[in-house]
Amino acid sequence: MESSAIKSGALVSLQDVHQSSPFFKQGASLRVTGKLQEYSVETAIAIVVDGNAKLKINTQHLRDLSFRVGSIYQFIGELLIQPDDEAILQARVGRNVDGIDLNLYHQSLQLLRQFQADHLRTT
Amino acid sequence: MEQLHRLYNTHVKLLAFDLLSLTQTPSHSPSDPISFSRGGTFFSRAETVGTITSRELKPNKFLKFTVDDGTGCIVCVLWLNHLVSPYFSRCSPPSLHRLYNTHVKLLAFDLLSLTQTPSHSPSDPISFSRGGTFFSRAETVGTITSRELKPNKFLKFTVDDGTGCIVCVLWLNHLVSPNFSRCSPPSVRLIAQMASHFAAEVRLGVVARVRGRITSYRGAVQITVSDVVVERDPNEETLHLLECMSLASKCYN
Repeated sequence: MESSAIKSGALVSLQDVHQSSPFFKQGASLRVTGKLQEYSVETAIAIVVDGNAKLKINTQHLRDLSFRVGSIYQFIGELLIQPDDEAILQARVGRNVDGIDLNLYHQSLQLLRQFQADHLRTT
Repeated sequence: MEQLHRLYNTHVKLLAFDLLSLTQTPSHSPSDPISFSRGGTFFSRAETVGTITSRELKPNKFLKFTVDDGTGCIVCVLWLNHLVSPYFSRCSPPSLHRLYNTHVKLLAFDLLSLTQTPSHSPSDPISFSRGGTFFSRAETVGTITSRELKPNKFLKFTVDDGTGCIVCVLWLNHLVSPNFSRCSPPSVRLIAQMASHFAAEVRLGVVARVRGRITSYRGAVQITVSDVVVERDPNEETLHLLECMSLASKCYN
């Protein structure tokens, strides 16, 4: 149960953010991790990738974060689904996570989902 | 004065040879708290890691064992007489639980689902429970996603670990609060300085390890902060997730 007005960003992989996913909802609060492929200073739009998946991130509200192509970043924000069904994450916080073990991270997310599902079943 | 030293109630990590060389601070009266010192630094609690090399059990009385960390052997005594000891006759049953004063590592969704234990009198310590296990302190690791500062009063911030957002309150009113009126001013200033330092560490977007007492405000569980450490290693959040899940199944349930 949330105890504050700030919504928690659900831990998802970029592969989870697609049209048929339960996470693909207007305004959904998500936390995504990916390698920076492109960044536009003019539009403040970043594109992060993870394997074959990619996602646009609107970074206009972020401060004190420098963007370097090839580095890995993590963003928490809300999903904006545009009329053409293209999604963009409106980031409210972000950080450079170079050095993160992405294999361990993805495996942990799987374990966490199982853990939370088991917890729901037993309560 | 010793109680107000910044390390007084911290579980300091000492090697055995170091711990065993500490000197007990002379007490001026029987009611003085026990402390040990080395070079002007006062300690009351410690943490050691080592191999158990001896074990002597007196059922329902105590377990005495030694921990060998390679630099010495520390004798450890775990009291097992809580249910009969007169020292606990005025405690409510929740405070006798083994995890009661431990900073349990709970995922946010788990922490936020705790139920406050009804107290039978105003002097009963505050505790929270889940499935018969009682907790009073917690540790969380996550991203700071909001920050609200009331200068010289408090800093309220949220920690998002991906499973929920925990509201954390760091009090900054030590210099004016009546709770500290019986402490010496230099010591209160030291505590206030530490709190200010922690407040400065709390910035939007950073990952922090936050420890403190589990409290409740308007029916919602929150943490009253005792310390904050910024975690710069990007794998720390992952490791915390794994630790929480492991401890939940092996220790807390």
